[in-house]
Amino acid sequence: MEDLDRLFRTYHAPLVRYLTRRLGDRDLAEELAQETFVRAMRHGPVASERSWLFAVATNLVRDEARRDSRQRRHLELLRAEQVEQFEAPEPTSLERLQEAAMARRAVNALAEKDRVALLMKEEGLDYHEIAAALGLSVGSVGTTLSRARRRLVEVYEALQREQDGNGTGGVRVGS
Amino acid sequence: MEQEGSVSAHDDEMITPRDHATNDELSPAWTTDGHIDDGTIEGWLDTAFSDEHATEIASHVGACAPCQARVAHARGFIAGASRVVRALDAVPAGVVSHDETVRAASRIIAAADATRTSGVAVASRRTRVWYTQAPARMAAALLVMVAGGSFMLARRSDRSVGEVIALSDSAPPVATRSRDAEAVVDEATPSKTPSDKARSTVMPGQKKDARAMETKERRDVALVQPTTADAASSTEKPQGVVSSLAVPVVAAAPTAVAAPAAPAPATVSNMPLNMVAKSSAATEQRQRRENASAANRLGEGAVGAARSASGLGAREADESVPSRCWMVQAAPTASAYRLPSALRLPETDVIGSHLVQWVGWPVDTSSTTVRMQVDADGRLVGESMNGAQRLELIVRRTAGEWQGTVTNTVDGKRATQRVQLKSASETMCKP
Repeated sequence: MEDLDRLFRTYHAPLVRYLTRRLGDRDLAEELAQETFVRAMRHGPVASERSWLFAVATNLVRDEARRDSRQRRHLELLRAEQVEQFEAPEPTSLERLQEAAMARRAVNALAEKDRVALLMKEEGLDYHEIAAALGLSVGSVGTTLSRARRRLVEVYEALQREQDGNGTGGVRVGS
Repeated sequence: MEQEGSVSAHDDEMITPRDHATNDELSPAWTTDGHIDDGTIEGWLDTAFSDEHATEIASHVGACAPCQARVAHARGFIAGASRVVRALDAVPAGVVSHDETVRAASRIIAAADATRTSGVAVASRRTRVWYTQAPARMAAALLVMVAGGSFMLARRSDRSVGEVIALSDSAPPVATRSRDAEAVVDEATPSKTPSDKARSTVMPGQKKDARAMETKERRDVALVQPTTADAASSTEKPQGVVSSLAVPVVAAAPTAVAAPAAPAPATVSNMPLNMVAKSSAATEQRQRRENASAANRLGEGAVGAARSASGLGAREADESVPSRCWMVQAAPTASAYRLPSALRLPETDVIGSHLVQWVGWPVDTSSTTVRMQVDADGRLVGESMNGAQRLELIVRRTAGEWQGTVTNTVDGKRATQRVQLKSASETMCKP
């Protein structure tokens, strides 16, 4: 139990941040983070805690994503409705929200593996941990990250141009 | 576009996490033409390599211009990607309970399933329901309808025409619910304005009168408060001022200090605006002088009284109603006016909205009136148009004195000169 406490204190915040960035929903991120720790408790000690936790969390995101698509669409609608009804506790400027929405579109344009590798790197995981979490060779992590970052920035800039009305044609955001 | 939380088909593979990080050593990779590859650059910038490999890469980059360019690009992408990822953090928390959302979604899905049939089918089902009800239920429904209709008719007959008019512009259809109940609620609500209260407590037959009275009250208030235009027209061409002067001095609030000698007749301010608006030019000038001397005698007391009379506090001054009248007095060049420390104006003297009158400056101008405001930076700023001439005054309190510039623009030519805010008595000084 003490070990779980330590795990929680050490990794909860980065895990929630990673999941929030991945999902765009902090409540769901916290839920999945808790589930991750529950699984860690059941699993027992692991050598590379951080990569293991991030890998499990990533799998939980996938599980979540596989749920019935119709229900998820309704959830999104309801969430949007309720976001309109309730005031956010920490006011976020419109500009920041717009940026966040654009960033989410850009991140969603990445391939899943690139996206996860990038988010893990941004959360401080090193190449070995990312390789372990994603089942990659260490040598391919650099290439994966290079591709992910380049693509992310390009898509984001294209979206910005599009928003500013200077876009030339549409922006392909599908991965 | 992908939806949040969605996965592509090719992404749909579970990760089998290793319970240990790999111990494979990361080695630099080279392209066939002898440069370092993108993954290696990325790893080098992410400090993923051992010292030995990092040194090797660094020495190559130091000597290879194309690789330097690629490293610079990669740095840009790393920074840019980081910024984009951080932008994802702008997600409000605590907005919605996930469990509640799921439950609500389930209800919606169930409802959607239940109503998937066409609108025609729904309508026919409704019709069938009405015609297949038991006679007792039909009778009960009829009874409710008759009772409701009677009640509405009875209420309508009680209403006067005035009430109908009043209701029609206050208005939402919901407003036809119990008016008496509304009145009780209004009485119990302390935040209601007096006019709101009056409206809510009048009897139905009195509503039109109440509205008429309220309108009249507003009109009366409008008549009492002169508009800026009124004030401006009333302050034209004051008498007894010297017009052949070159540098303006802003005559400030009178204070209780003996007036030094001045090149121009004392000019005045500190009159309530409605007084300015209603007096003739000559009377106005005389009145100003009287007010000035009175204010000089009374000093801050007079200022306070003027504020009290106009209902304006120091900081809470109503921006739309000038609390003071100031006069910009033409003065000889380069006025060496110095404001004795005893005359320094308390900040409260210039906070709010002011009318400044420009007299005889820069050359043979008719007087104009400018509305002055204290801006967010604490500057007193104002602008005045006089035909093709535009005067801008900006003064700031510096080292206890109000100093600044007046810019005169005529036909696109600008001339700026320094001015100093003076008390009315100070305008008696000679430069």
